[in-house]
Amino acid sequence: MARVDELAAPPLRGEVPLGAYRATLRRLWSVAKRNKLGTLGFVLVILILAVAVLSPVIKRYDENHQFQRPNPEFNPNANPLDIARNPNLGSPFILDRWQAPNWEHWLGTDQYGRDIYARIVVGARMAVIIGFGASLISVLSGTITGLISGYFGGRVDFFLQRVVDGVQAFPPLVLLLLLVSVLEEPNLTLTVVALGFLGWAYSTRVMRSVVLSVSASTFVEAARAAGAGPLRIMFRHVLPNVFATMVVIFSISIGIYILAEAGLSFLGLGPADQTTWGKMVNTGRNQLDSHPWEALFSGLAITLAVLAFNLAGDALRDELDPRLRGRT
Amino acid sequence: MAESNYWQRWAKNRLSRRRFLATAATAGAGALAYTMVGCRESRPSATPAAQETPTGPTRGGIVRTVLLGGNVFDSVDVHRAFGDPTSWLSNYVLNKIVRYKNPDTGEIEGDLAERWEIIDGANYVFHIRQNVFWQDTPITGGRQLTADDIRWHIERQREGKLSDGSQASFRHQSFYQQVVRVETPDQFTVRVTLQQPRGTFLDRLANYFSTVPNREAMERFEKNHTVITEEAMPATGAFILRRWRSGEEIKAERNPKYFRQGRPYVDGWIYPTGLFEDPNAWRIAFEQKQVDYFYSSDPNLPKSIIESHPGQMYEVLTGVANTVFMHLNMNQQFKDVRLVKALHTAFDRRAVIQAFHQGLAQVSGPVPWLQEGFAIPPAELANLDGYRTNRDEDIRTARQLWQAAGGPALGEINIKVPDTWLAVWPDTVQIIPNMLNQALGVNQFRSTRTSYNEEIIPNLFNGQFPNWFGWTSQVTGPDPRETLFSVFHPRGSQNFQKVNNPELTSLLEAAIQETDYQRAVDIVRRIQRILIDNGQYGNVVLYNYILRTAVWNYFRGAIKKPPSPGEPALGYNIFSGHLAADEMWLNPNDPTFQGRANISL
Repeated sequence: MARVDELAAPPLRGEVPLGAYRATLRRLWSVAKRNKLGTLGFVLVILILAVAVLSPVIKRYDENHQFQRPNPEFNPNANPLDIARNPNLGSPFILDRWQAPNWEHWLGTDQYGRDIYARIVVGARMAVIIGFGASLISVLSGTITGLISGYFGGRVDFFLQRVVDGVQAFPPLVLLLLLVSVLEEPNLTLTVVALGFLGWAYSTRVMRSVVLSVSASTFVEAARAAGAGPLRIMFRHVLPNVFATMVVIFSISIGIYILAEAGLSFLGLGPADQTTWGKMVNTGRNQLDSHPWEALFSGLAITLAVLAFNLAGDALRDELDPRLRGRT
Repeated sequence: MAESNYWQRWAKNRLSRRRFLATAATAGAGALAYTMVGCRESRPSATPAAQETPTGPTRGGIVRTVLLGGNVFDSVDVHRAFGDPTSWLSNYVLNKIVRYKNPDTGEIEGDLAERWEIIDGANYVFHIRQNVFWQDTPITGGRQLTADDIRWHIERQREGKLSDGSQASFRHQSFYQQVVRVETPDQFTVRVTLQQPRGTFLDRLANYFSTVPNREAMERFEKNHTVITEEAMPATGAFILRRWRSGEEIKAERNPKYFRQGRPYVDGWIYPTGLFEDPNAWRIAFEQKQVDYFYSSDPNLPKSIIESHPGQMYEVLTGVANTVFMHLNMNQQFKDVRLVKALHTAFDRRAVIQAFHQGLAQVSGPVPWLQEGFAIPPAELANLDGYRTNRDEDIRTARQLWQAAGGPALGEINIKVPDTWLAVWPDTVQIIPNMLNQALGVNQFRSTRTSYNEEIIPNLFNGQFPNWFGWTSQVTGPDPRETLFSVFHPRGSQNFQKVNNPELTSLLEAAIQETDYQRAVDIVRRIQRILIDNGQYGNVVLYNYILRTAVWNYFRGAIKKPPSPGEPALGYNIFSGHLAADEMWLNPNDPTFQGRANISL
């Protein structure tokens, strides 16, 4: 029953009543209590997004700056034999390489004397751009083709699904390596597009099946009987009903794309001129036994990011799917 | 119904995705903790020192190791092979007319020729040994090597023709075209006449690619010279090839008729497949004593292995013959020589040495320091543009030149990096442009990936090659004059930058003809100063790094300076396979020999 003050002062147009906020918060709190892992995932995702957005402010140092210190041993007359005996003789400064974590460099430095913390932070930005970008491309393109394929059926469906079969017949990593190595210089845009294309087939398949189910609903039949055209039915009636699936695919795919990019960068086929976590793992792995910091922290960042997006996506699916809601 | 067994209960509970993720998170944290516990700084250890054996080299045993820097052979014909591996291999099997006694200083001794006379810079007489025999095969019949073999060796390369008179590509034809006449007044004397005096003639004959192959075998395999077989390379040298097939282990055994008495020391050697291409497999094989030494582009790797086997291994340091360059295309973006001089000066060689090689390298002038007789000494180099120890001075000069020549108007500049380099140092595409941008105070430079085979080599002759940073030419011998002539003389076969400086041209011509060593050195140093004044015309030599090799104490080879307590051994910087063939030996009395894999041919 409505309270007196609410009756006396109806909300203005566009203004959300305070009670609605409270209700939403209460619902979120209830979901958070019910799905603790999902909540952890969301907290981590928010943290990663915050780090990515704020990276220029919080990175402390330029991620490419090579820290160095004067070299008291420098001998400008040193010949190659002297340098072979003592490599420190040949330069007026020494790079601060392979520093263990300390107050100046929170996560230590890499083999080029660069701050690992700054590089992890900048890498977060790359991971988010790649994860969100590729996921967006794959979900949007998959939704459009899934919508067309599922709604029209017949020859259109047959043709589109054979193309999807063709793409899915290739092992994903092989296809990815092929795309990235055959096209041109592996830059950031190319990597995002290649990853997005790889996910297109999966998104199409899932969206098609949902569209098939929704298209058979009575409200779609009713719209058709009322004289609505295919475009109107698809975008006004079908699309809103498959939106929840789109959101779930989008959120779960982000972690997968972050992992795929790390794999590409590890193989030297990622965006070469960018600082990415995969490239850091690749660079750091050679010193894993003596100077593990770079490989360790970048590997940990990848693990956390993938875990966070998976947990969050999983929770989102549970909440958006009425059959799973409340079963956690 | 009673509760079923454990596996049925487990299957009934089913592993949900959520549970899997939670488990994965726990496992990940556990693995992290385990790794953290396992982390350690590299341990200091006693300086490894190999023990000298008072008795000297021991005969016998089979060496198994990566003797050559690669095993992709493009031909069995040393005259026609354009890749180096065939030439490298031939140094263990064949001989040259003369050879380097010390490859780094260029001191020459007789090989097939036991002595020689220089009549003047254009006339040479070689007296061939009378105790050299070809390996006894159905093709050679084990006949004696004579002056006619030497004449054929020179004339075939000069003419560039096969035995049926057809033309073919011979790698060194342009060098032998200076030979006017080859005469054989008797069975063991060869008289060579050149068009004009050539101070580098003997040096080129001593180079690793100047081995003398067997005429009958070459003619037998002329039509299918790309099919790799041991039959095509009958030996005169230290070893006989027992097995030489594409993609397989190479096996060689001692040549009993080798003319150098008492050599080689070992009974044979095996070049294993796959190890050179897979450093991890090579490292493991080395630590298990399946191969006798190990090197890596990462100097820390051999070092850490040596430190983890205190007293059992020694360290050998050698300069790497593949010089590191920055090439700037003067036909396209950098037509104004001030621009290349600005970049030549701005490039911080010592910083890059620090970054990529942990200091284990030495800056090189236009003549790399490996060619120690001709290179500008380090102390003098440190006062020249681009090499100054006062970096601020170089940066000031570079910025002035860049601004004066309109560098900022060039827009984006891409200094590409070959994929082979990026495989080892993937961060180069960030480090090099960052360094140049900072030095010149601009934001113009970037780096992307390129490929030697796809973009650089095919475009060298048409002048369309990209700007690039990475390994380039190999230092093949101690004398740089032929290379300098080839790269900077208007008639030079590798003058891709179309350099035409009259003063430089006349000096190059004088250098190439000079037979007096000291005068040649003086001319070459003048040439280098002109090159530095002109930014090396875009062929910016940067540095040569030093390779660290870990060697088991029981293995000894041809090294310049043996190891001593607290001191590493020094190897030759320039290819010395002919010396390794003669000098390598195994010491079965060394304690480390115990546990070595039983290796037989």
